[in-house]
Amino acid sequence: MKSSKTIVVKASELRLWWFPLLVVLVVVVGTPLVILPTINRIVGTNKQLGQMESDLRNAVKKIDQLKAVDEDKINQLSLLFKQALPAEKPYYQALLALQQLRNDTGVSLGDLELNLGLLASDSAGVKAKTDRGGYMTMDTKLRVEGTTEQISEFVTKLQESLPLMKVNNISIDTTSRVGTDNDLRGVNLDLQLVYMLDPPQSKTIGYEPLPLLSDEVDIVSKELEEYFNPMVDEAIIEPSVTDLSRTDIFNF
Amino acid sequence: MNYSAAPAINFLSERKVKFDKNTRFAQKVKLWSGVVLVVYIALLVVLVMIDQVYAARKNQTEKALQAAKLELTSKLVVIDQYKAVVNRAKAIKQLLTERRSSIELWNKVKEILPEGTELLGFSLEESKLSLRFSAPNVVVANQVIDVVSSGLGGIEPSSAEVDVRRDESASYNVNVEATLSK
Repeated sequence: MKSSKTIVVKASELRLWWFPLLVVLVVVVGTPLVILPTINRIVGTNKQLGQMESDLRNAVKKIDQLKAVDEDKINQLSLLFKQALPAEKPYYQALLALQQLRNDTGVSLGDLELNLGLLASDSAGVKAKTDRGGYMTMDTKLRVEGTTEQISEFVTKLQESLPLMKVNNISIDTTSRVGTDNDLRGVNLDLQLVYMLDPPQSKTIGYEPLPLLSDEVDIVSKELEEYFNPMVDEAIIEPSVTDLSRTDIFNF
Repeated sequence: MNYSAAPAINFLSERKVKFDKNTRFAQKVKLWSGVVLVVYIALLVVLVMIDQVYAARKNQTEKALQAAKLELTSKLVVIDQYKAVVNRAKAIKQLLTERRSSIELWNKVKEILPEGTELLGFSLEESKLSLRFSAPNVVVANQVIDVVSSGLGGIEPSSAEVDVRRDESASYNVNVEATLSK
């Protein structure tokens, strides 16, 4: 009789409490299984969305920038700048310019130390230094013979020719006056050939905006256009094949 | 005995009071449980909606980004060329600036040489200028020294050292080491 009473009481209590218990169960089970993962997913998606929207803004900006880029102008500038600052060791270009300047000024050239190396692979191993401007320099020496005026003109024109070269040191050797003419001088020039390797081609797309093509680019290009460019004016150079195995490659 | 009167039954017994109290409490608990459940479900619905909205936006942005990426990929050559031009222009400008000071000095030194003097050496390494002149006699040698001490014709070195020696041919060799102010 007592146990049946207990069962009746428990059954009535269960009738009263099933709903709150069910709610507690739903909250306790639903929170870790549904609510928290959903919140985490929303936070993660929001973070990804922020990054993607930022990328999209930058990408659209970059596309707009690219639409404004004059591809022909960029091609021309690229060509001119590579003639001024080649993308590889500028042996051939330097020889061409020196040969033309020799013809223009009437000096004799010799003892050019280009450090070519005996093998093609050696020339790749010739040490180059990186300057703070991001370009590479290679020290070379050149002997110039001529009158003071000729040498002066040669040095001045050398500094207005492409590819760009740096004249670091001019040393006039008084004891080696060449020939019988006392006006002739022998000059040793310490030259630096300069070049700048192209960066490796991009494999991935970056969304960062393009660097600005400032007015300085136009100023630089205008200045370079006024320089003597043997690669463009090649037609006026007497056709010749430069044989690097010769002792004096400047005398033909 | 009055049989017509209702029997005096105590409906407000102690058990009834307790029962009613429990019932009211249970009703309250049910009510609050219902509120909690409704709020919980509402929160869940809101969360699911937010999740869907974010997922839709992500999907949309992803498509737009993919299209932009495709367009940029087609322009990869132009982008690389453009960047190379900008970098090369910077390097050339730096190189021209360095060379310009050297060319200007070379031309300036040639201008200020006194008559009869011969320039035998010219070197510019960073801010260190080295010059070597030959003067036929002491008068011209002194003129060279005057030019150097008066600031190399406007070049204005921060410091300068002059060394004069007489060589075998009886002419004077004047060596100038000057540090140029940047």
